[in-house]
Amino acid sequence: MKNLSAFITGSIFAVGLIISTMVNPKKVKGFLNILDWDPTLAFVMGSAVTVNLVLFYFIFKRKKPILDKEFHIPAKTIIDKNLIIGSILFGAGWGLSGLCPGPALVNIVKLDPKVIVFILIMTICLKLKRTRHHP
Amino acid sequence: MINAIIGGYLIAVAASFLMFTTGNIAGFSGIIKRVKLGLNWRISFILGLITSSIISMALKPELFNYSIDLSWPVILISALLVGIGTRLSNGCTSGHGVCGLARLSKRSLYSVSIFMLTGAIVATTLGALK
Repeated sequence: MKNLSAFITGSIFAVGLIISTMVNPKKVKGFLNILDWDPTLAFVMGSAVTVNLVLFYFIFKRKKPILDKEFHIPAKTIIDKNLIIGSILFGAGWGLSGLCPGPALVNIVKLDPKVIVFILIMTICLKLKRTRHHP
Repeated sequence: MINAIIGGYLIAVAASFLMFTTGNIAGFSGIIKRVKLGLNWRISFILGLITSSIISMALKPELFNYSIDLSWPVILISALLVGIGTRLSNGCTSGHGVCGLARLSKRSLYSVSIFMLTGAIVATTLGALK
């Protein structure tokens, strides 16, 4: 059931990214370019966050999700160096190409070798094991 | 414009559905980071996304009527920055943006503010140089 639920989530998410044009790198770069601003994606983010705010409010009134014993919410709440540096790097990469992880995955259907290489490199970086030991 | 709002609604409905049923955050970087082969919710999520994208492309090819007009250096550098960046910050536009802001996470608010700012600086600079 959890797999079916995740499959449905992925299916709806893809349609949302596609019809909102969030999958088009040019639209993303237009949104991030303040000198030649294309506001379309502000409406995507705005409506997504607003609707989620309301729905999450009701969902978190429950003790647990319907198919699992607990909610899987990150325990970390501190603002650390990794969060800041990671966000700076991600923003720079996003502004450079107009691609972030979700839209990149949807664009795999275009079978463009550039998209496939992008996904491969991104995935390898995400899956790198941490070598440094923390005290 | 109306499509942008409907698209945003669908993204929110998808993220809330996953939270309501499985209790998981619909964040792409986290899903890719932790996905393992086999039958599990992360693989199912990715399969759903790709199946739905293929069907959308078959039914409405005009929605994919844009080109990935990016040079190889841009692809390589951007993929490294996006991969390493989201790994360090534990989230991207979906996890920190759509889900994190909606659950009023302080980390997500910091992350989104910072990646929007650096994204805007890079995109605006490159746009002006064109």
